[in-house]
Amino acid sequence: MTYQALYRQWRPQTFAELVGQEHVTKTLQNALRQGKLAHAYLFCGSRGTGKTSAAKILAKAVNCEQGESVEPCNQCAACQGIQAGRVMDVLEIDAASTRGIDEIRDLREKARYAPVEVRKKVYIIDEVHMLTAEAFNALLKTLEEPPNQVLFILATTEPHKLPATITSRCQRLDFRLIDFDVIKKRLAEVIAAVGRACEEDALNLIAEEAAGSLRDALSLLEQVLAYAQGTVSSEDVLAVLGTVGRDVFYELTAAILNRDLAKALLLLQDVAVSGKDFQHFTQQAILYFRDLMVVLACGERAERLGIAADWAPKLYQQAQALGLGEIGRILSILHELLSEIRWSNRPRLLWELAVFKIFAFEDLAEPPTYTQTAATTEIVPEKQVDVPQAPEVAVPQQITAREQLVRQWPRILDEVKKESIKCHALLLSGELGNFDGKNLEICFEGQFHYDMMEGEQNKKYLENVLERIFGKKIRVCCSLGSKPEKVKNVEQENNPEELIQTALEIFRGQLIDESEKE
Amino acid sequence: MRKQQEPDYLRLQRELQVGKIRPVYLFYPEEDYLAEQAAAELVKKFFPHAEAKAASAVVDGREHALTEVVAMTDTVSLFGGSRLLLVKNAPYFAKGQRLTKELLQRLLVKNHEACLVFFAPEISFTAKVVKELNARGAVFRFEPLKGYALQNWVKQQLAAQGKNISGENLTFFVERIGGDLRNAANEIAKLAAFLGEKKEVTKESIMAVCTRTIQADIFALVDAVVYGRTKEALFFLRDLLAAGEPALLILAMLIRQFRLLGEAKELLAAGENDLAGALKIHPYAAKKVSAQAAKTSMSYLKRAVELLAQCELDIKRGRIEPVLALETLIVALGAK
Repeated sequence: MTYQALYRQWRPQTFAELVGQEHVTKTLQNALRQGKLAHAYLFCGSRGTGKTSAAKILAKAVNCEQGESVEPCNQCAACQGIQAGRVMDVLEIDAASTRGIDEIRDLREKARYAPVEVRKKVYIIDEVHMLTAEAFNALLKTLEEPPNQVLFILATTEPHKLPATITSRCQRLDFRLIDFDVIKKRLAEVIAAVGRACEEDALNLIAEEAAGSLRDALSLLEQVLAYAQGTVSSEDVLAVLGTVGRDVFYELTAAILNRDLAKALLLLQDVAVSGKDFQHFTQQAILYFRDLMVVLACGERAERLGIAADWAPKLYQQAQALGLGEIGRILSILHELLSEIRWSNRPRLLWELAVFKIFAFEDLAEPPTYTQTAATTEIVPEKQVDVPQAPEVAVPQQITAREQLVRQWPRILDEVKKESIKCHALLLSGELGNFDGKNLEICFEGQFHYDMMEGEQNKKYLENVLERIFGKKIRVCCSLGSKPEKVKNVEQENNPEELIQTALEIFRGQLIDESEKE
Repeated sequence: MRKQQEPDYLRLQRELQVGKIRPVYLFYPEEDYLAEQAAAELVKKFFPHAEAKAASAVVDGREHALTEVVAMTDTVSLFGGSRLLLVKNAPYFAKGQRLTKELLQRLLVKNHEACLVFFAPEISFTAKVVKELNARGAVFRFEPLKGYALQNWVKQQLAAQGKNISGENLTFFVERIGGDLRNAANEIAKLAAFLGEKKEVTKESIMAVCTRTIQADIFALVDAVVYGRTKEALFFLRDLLAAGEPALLILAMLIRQFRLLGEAKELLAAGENDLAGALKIHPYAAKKVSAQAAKTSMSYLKRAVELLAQCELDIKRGRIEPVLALETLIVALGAK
């Protein structure tokens, strides 16, 4: 016998074997038992969740020579014939290649004839969303007045592409992504059946990579089995995938938390030496921090969101230490990196720069307590810039107190607004002046605003907020006259002129004054 | 609650139950599934023996003049006995259609041997024939069902399958499957099959098998976000994406929902009573939105809008992969 791929060998033959879709099998089996089958079914779900398998099993169950039953016997001529695709009354149509109106018309013609070999004609139309609009209309006519003795099973990965007229004529069954544990269990069964052994970690990796698709999981397992000698280890899986393990990112994050720049750079060195693709590495890094974010939001039990159970507590710990703000900041740095790295022939350098960026914020005068979020970290006064507190760590960039303040300014405004809307409005018309960590200068152009802000009450509002946010007393003083730098409340790109400029560059357009075109 | 007028489909059911069959029916099928269902019940009543079904015929009104159609019912059926004729797409009752006196008379005073059912997509209620038929109660208007009437219908359908449902679960179920009856009928059949021998519809069974409409899902998603249940929100997002909904569509729906929320908040603050009317949304949706509005502050909404706009900008500029962008967005929205 010729070799069959694992996922074909292990294609489920009975409803009981169709794992992870109990709600579907129960519905179908009850309908079979009570003789209440719908005339048309629509199976929706991602790839590798069992749609086509379920369709085949259903076709067998209604036509089994043992009588219509809740499970096909898989022994009789009908079952075996359908399995092998020999029965002409059970048609499997791939709508991706047979999508025209002529084919569907043909199907309509033939659907009217009674079945020849088995009890019921079954049309399985795979990837049904690929049909043309005309073909859908032709099909609709048949679905509206279905001939007896015909069962339609439509399968698709993209139900939203079907016209509503079609979906409303079918009983729709949604196939779920298969749970992590179910995939793992199935993988273990397969491995045992082929007489091999596999480490727990390796199983976890494969199940994670499969992301809910059993077919993907089995395909990957097949590759890994072919690659590995003896017991399958997680290294084997990583080698086949061409990726690095999660522990690399775990260590990288640990290095960030410990402010151990040297360690972080060494990790990058390892990646470079082992010849991994940095672009892929970046994507993985993004996914890792995404996981941190998800775990932080969801707590430790996040398996349903695709995170292995044994990793969740570790991730949770790191996520808590970093805080949501910091994770978001790192993610945005990584995204920027990803778009740059595509066009660069020095990916490692870019990565190192990104690591510097990530560390810059962390590099503080006092060791931070990790439960703090980015927003509540201490400020480094400007004069300390020249004398780094931790000389053993290279300082790539120092944040000045003013930058710190500018970064926090929108939040400060927000807080002030809660206290007093009037004060908030005043501050909006003012500009940030000098700030050395203790004294904050605010500049106003107009005398009125200056006077108002100098008033005890308004100053107090701002000082209170500043104290809350920075955890120390900061004196506010006002001055008259304009300062060069304007504090930007919103991100730069929201500036309309800059947006227009960017648009002009992208589309190579020019500005046309509408008012001149009379 | 105001006593609702009995929907016409129920009136027809009641008539059939007592064995009353009219010689002429005029169906106005705004919700065609209800009309079809009613016609099927009528046929069943007319021909208690299933094999006699052949005596009922369906013709397309666009292909025959009314005289022809009326004449058809006069011909003796091949199988003997009385005759039932379903006329789909009947154009005779639309505006501008005139009937001769003679024809009108024949329609109104018909022999009771035959039964004529017109499905008229357009009806002019000022036309004489319609007025006459209406006076006799022969006009049946099948309006799309909403609110209480919809729940009632669903409950009835479930009962026909031998299933009970509690009031709370009924609301949950209807909210989830939406108001399209054909679709709802499919969901009911599916739910009944899933339950099998069990009689009682439980919330778990609904959750397990029923397909949600994307609107319902987005509502649930926003609900989870607004009430700070981030984990649940991420599950909903994952389900939506797994069902093949495009990320940008989800984002657009989120934006719409948050905009509604903002509008609702302003309107409520201004003392608006009829939120559904003012926002042109379904009363049920209005109820949910106002509950959500009560839970959110204006500053939160403002921040939410900024986050949403930024997210859209990021996706469209290709800066972030859409799925991750949505996840980040939801986590950020969840952090109050």
